[in-house]
Order: sequence, then structure tokens, then C-alpha cells
Amino acid sequence: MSRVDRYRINSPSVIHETIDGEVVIVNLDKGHYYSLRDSGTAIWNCVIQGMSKPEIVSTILVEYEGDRDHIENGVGQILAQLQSEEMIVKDGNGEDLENSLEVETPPSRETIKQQFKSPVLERYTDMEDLLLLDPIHEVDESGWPHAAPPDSKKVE
Amino acid sequence: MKWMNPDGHMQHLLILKRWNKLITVSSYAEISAADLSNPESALFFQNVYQAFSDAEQSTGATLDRYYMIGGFTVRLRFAGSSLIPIITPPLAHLSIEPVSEPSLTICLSDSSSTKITLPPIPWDNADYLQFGLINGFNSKDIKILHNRALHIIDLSQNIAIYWISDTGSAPYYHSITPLRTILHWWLHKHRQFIIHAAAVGLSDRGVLITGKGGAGKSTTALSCIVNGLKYVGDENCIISNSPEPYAHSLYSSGTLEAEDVDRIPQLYSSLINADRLDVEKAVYYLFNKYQDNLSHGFPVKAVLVPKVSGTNDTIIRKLSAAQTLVALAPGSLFQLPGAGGESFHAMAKLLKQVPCYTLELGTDLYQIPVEIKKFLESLP
Repeated sequence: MSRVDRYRINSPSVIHETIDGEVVIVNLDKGHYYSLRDSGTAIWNCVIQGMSKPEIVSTILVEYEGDRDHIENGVGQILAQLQSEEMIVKDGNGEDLENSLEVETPPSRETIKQQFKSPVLERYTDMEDLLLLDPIHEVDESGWPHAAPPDSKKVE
Repeated sequence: MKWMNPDGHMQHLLILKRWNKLITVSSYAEISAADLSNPESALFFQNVYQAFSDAEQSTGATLDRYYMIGGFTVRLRFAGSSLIPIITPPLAHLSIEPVSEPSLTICLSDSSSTKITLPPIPWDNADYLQFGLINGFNSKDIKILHNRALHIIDLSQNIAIYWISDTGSAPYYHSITPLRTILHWWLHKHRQFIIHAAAVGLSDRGVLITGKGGAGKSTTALSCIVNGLKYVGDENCIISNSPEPYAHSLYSSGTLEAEDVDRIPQLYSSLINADRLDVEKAVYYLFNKYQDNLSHGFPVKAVLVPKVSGTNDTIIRKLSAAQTLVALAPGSLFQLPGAGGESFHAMAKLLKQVPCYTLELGTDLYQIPVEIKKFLESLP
């Protein structure tokens, strides 16, 4: 029987805020930060609700115009990217596919659904250097830390 | 290439390359979320506090200065006078008369002038984390950071200690944004947050100006103060959201890249390190000449994200709140040890309440304060 995974935000390392349909996400450990919009925001909201990938795909199919294969690919790619960036992690050990919640398709609405476009994760790494900084190597006899003398073998 | 040190000032990356030993212990988020109870932390605080008392006796006098910071009374209790000229000038505009029960007391000492050494430290070299935080020694009440200076606070007692080996070893940025780490810890407890933003405006309203280093925050803020606008800060200010978005002033210092000094010649007389511009940013103490334009704070009516346009004119255009958060949050979060979720959510809350704009900076500096003033006057 197929197994499906659910995800959760990798907190407390990852913090996030949604403003006006855009998500800003910060990974405090890595010093990276990100933004998502449009379908990316919708998928992020599904992750927050603890949905499995099939449930996310079903939800996006309700909200966006597009064929299932395209949406499945888009959702799969962004979930893989979010995992690779350690922004989300698998929650538990997975569960049987048949236990995955069915997302009911609501009755057809008059409103025109937006065309699905694969989400883009904007990634910023300019703060990373700050977190790689380790200013303390040695503590002298008087108890004050200082940088170790440069090791010529380590300096490029 | 340059990097930003833990106190938010640019240093050369060459040093980073020599120091870039990866951190192998607790994560940044774990540090910020730590709620450990370590009796060694409390004991160390007591020992340092006792050493401070010895230092006071050694110098024969306690020298107190009082300030109003973020609406709270803060007493700086100096063991001797040697640290006063380093620490106090950027706080001059917040000085108040002595109060009997300050909200926070910060004890300041140095080993060289007091002849009192720091008590033995109870941790190992391997315990040093990012910023100089100490693995296992930061708890809900006691925070410790040990790098060029020792910063330690007991939040349950509202007492902090800043201790440095000798005044000559104080990093120059401690004389620009003094005691920022200690104040960050303490203000955080009171739901006020130090952020990486300038703030300028009128007497009853103002704007935050935020962006990455080099985006033009300082140039904008300093061009505003010399042209009559109110100045709350050029690098940091304190925000609170209750009852309304508000920016409190923290420092009346200002900095410019050395190559920009001639762009604002009105500031020459406030420059304090003209002889060291080859290795330091230009540092200004603004209190003496511009005290009438230094504001303790104002309600925040908008947030501006500057970017250099390359054209002559300065233009203000709408920007999404999320993109403004992208500009504001990282510098604020990664500049201060343990600034995490609460600070982030407070910034987002503020941005949800006020409009956000791009400030496209023209080359005609005089236009910048004029446009900001017109913009503020146009807001309801």
C-alpha cells in the first residue's frame, strides 16, 4: 500500500509571516531568508495545515486552473526545495494513502480561477556570512577570549 | 569584501576567512529558545557582580548616569570614569535626572583602570557559540555574551554588567551603539525590539527607513537631520506596537562610509574619528550641534526602503509589506544575539499597520529631506 508523508514547519529554526498574500520565511540557523507568493503561498498554507502532498495537490486543483500533472509536478518540486532548504521536515513516519484526507471539490463558482504557475522560492543568502563567523577561538590566562593566530595552512 | 559583525558594523572579510571555523554545537534558534536553568550561570553572575563591587571600591567612587530608553529609566553605574567617554556620548540625548528606582541598572567596569580582574569563567573554549554566546549558559533569566567585552544580564533582578579588559580594547562600534546587546535582551522582555532601521520625521510622526547595509539609510537620516527634520536614529531604533506603531530613539550617533563624508559637509564638526577614516567608518556624535533635532521618538506612519536610483530626483513609490519585511527583518534578526520569532512577528505586525514604500534616492541629497517632509505632511 502506498505511503504518504505529511510535513511541518521546521520550527523553531524557521519562522514565517504572511502579509498580503506573500510569505516571508527566515531560517535562523542557516542565515537564509526567502519569500513565496501566489501558488507558493497557497502551498505553504497547506503545509502549515499539516496536509500531505496528495491533499495539497487536491487543494491547489480547487484553487487554480491547470492540469493535474503540471500541478503535481509544481507541488512536488517546491516541497522538495523546501525540504532541501530545511524549511520543512517530514512529520511522523508517513501514513497509508487511503487515510489521507479527501479534499472535496466545491461546487463550480462563477469566479475565474487563476492559472497555476509553478511556485518560485526567492532565496537570499547575504546574511549567511554573519552566522559562519566564530570570533572566539582561545581564552587567554586573564579570561579574555581572542581570535586564534591565523593558521597558515587554513588561509587560502 | 566586507562582512557585518555581531554589532552590525562592517568589517573586512579577510578576518572572517581566517576565523571561519564552523559552529558545531547548539543552533541559533536553540539558543534563542533556550530556557535552561543552569546554576552555574547564576553563580557566575553573582561572582561578576561581586567583582564589580570590588572594582567600585578600588576606584573609590561610583559614577552614575541616568537615561530614559524606550520609556524606561536606566541607570549606568560606572566603576571609575574610564568608560564614561566611550559609552555615554551616543546616549546624551536620552539623559535624565537621577531616579531612585531605575527600571534597569547596568554596571560597567574595565580591568585595567580598576585593577580588578574578571572572575574565572566556568566554561570551556568549546562552549563559545555564534556572537560569543555561551553554550548551556543562557537561560530564561540570565544571558551571557563574551567576546571583546563580557555582557551579562539577570533579567529577574534587572541588573546587567558590561566588563571589558581595558578601554583600549573596546571595539570602536561600542562607542557608536553602546550596550546594544544588553539593551536588546532587556527590552525584548518588555516587548520592545531593537531593529536595524533609521527613523526620521516631524515632531509628531515619522518614518522608518530600512534596508541592507549600503542601501542609503544613514545618508538619508543624516541628510534629514542637517536639514531640520527630527532624527531618531540612523542604524537602530526601538519599536513597539502598543498602542500604535512607535519608534523610540536609542542612539544619537551616526555613521557614514568614509568616502561619503564630503557629501554632507554640515557634519564635519560632529565627526569624531577624522584621523581613522582609513580603517573605520566616519562616526558622528550629533548631540552638541543638533540636539534640537534629536527626537526621543514618534508614531511610525510609514516604512521606506531606500535604493540608490542614479538619477537626480528622489521619488517615493508603493512597495509591498512583504518585500519591506524582507528588507527589514534579516538585518534586525542577525544583528543581535537571540533575536528570533518575537522580534520577527513584531516587525511584521508593524508592517501590517502602516504603508510601505520604496525611497528611490536621487543624487541631489537636498531633495531627500524635502521629499520625506512633503510625504509625511501628506499622510492623514
